[in-house]
Amino acid sequence: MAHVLHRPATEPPAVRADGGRPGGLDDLLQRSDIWRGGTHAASDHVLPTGHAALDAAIGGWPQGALTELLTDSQGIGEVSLLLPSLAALSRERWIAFVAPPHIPYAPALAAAGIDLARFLWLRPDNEADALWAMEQSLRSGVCGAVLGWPTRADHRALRRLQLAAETGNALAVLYRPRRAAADASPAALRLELAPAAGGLRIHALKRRGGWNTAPLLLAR
Amino acid sequence: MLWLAIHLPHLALELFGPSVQPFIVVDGPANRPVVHARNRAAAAAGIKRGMPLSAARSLCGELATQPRDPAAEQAALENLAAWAGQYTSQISLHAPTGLLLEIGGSLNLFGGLAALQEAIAAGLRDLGYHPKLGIAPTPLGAWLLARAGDARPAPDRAELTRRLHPLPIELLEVKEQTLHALHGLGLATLGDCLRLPRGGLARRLTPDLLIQLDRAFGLLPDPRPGYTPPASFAARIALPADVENIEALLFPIRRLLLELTGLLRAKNAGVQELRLHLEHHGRAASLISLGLVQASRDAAHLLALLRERLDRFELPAPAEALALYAERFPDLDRTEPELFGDATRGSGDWAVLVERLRARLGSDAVIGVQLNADHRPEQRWQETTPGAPSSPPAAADGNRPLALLAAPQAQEAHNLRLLRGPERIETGWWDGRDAVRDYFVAATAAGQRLWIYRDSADGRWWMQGIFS
Repeated sequence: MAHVLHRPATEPPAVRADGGRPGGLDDLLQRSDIWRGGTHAASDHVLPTGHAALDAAIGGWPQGALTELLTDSQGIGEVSLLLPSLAALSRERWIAFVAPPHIPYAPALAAAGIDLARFLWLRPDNEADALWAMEQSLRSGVCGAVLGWPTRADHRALRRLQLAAETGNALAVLYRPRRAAADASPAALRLELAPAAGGLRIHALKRRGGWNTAPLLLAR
Repeated sequence: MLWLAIHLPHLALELFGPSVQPFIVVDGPANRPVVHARNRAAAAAGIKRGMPLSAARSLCGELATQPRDPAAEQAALENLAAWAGQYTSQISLHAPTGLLLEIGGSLNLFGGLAALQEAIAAGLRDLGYHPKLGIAPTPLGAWLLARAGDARPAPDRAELTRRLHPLPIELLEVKEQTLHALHGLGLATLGDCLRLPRGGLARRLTPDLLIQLDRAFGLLPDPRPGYTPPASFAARIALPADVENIEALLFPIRRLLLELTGLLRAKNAGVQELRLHLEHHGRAASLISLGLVQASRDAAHLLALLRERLDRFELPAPAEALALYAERFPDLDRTEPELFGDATRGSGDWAVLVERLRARLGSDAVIGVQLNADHRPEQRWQETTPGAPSSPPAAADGNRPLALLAAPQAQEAHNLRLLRGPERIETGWWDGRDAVRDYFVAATAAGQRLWIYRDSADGRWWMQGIFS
């Protein structure tokens, strides 16, 4: 199956987050070693983050696996961080937000290059349903990325999400409080996020094929 | 012409859902009902056909009983005829327990006679019936083979004749006194009847018998009234005994869905809306209606959707019967563009996912978003059906926060650092005041970025979004 990865003519303006220059992202997408929509590649494939410094540090978002973003703050660019990858995935697959704390604001999503015709906002009214909805969305293969804001997720739930992400070859991202860092996790990648002067401080607590690297500062 | 006859010897019993508990259907005068049919558990308890109900009860304490219901038998037979429409368009009812399918034209489509026969037999077993099949070049010949339990196909008249000869005359539909007369003549099989001189036989017996024999052997034409599939689907299953847990409803629901999807295949269509009624004794039925994003005729998919709904459904009272209704059967291919325009999307699986999510979370919890041609922040977006296309973003949308608060919150501004702004947005006419808002991107001391505005009418500060 041929996949058109070049930017369509109707592509909205450049992504807003730093480092998300359209040219740079396109260059990344032309590379043959990254995941292409519709193929179920091995789970160790990674997706370029759209931030060169972050790619250098962590290698990219692990496609077909669970990523935990641990933070106690909102409004530090914790979702913007993912926008370049979400925009790239959205050209062929769906993006789902499960139980986000606020309204996912369509103008910002569209301006970042996410196709709203392939965006799902799930707002289950309890925690069990939220985890179930994440799992279903990941497993289906329909979604390229599923972002979830669970209020509680035990090890068993994380394990299920990790398996579902593998099955559906989807990027699973969980937002959790920093204290969750103390718990063991089956996630392929765990990043601690904190505000810092002029940007976002990213500390990789766990990643495949590597251990602790020095915290990284991403300018906003 | 090649006919496949379906004989359902246990229809009176099997039209009720399955029961692992002893279950019988009773018939006969109201003051002395007798066992008309019994399931395996009842047979194991020693209950026999024709036994008085009182005797059956004495053998088995926990015995579920239902009166025989000829109208329900006829309805079940018609449902099966609708279901069988997926295999051929030429179907006749052979009441009370039979269906006749002309399958000569369907053999190629279904991979040959053996494959078609097995598909129909397996389909009927899947529905919970234990059928007897017969295959012959005449409808009555096929029926007699089915009645005799001879499932080997008789592909031509010579073979049919050979196979009909040894069958007992009791299989014919003739009066008891005619049977007696035949026995009196020493005739026990169809072959015996044929060996008599035709003139003498016709004189002695009713011409009706002669016609039956000639039709069975293919010496006379045997036109059959065709069954016309219904315009809408309505099917009901009475349960052997009241059911209090949802699990026990799944088999009968599955049967209803299989019958529906058989009809849908016959119509080459799908279904987008259906209603399940759970009937209770002495109170209104519980209604569960299902709407699909995309028309489907996949029974497993429909069952999964109904199951999600039922898992969260509290039965207000035990269910004694259930019924499934569907009225409109849209074309499978045409439903998507009607709903969503022709926006390009990935595989069609997304609709299946959306339906699954909706079935459990509710439609309100599974939505899409799209842009609105309105400059006011609250009106710039709206909820929509997942998959609906959106207009492209404008330049100003690039400065907006990813998270919008459901309602603006009063904000202390003195400890915020203003990074960008003001951006003046007129908002007055919709909240009844002539007011404008000056929007800023602001940073908190902790490094969070907020989207705030100052209401020009009173100078107060509000937070409306978060740059998450």
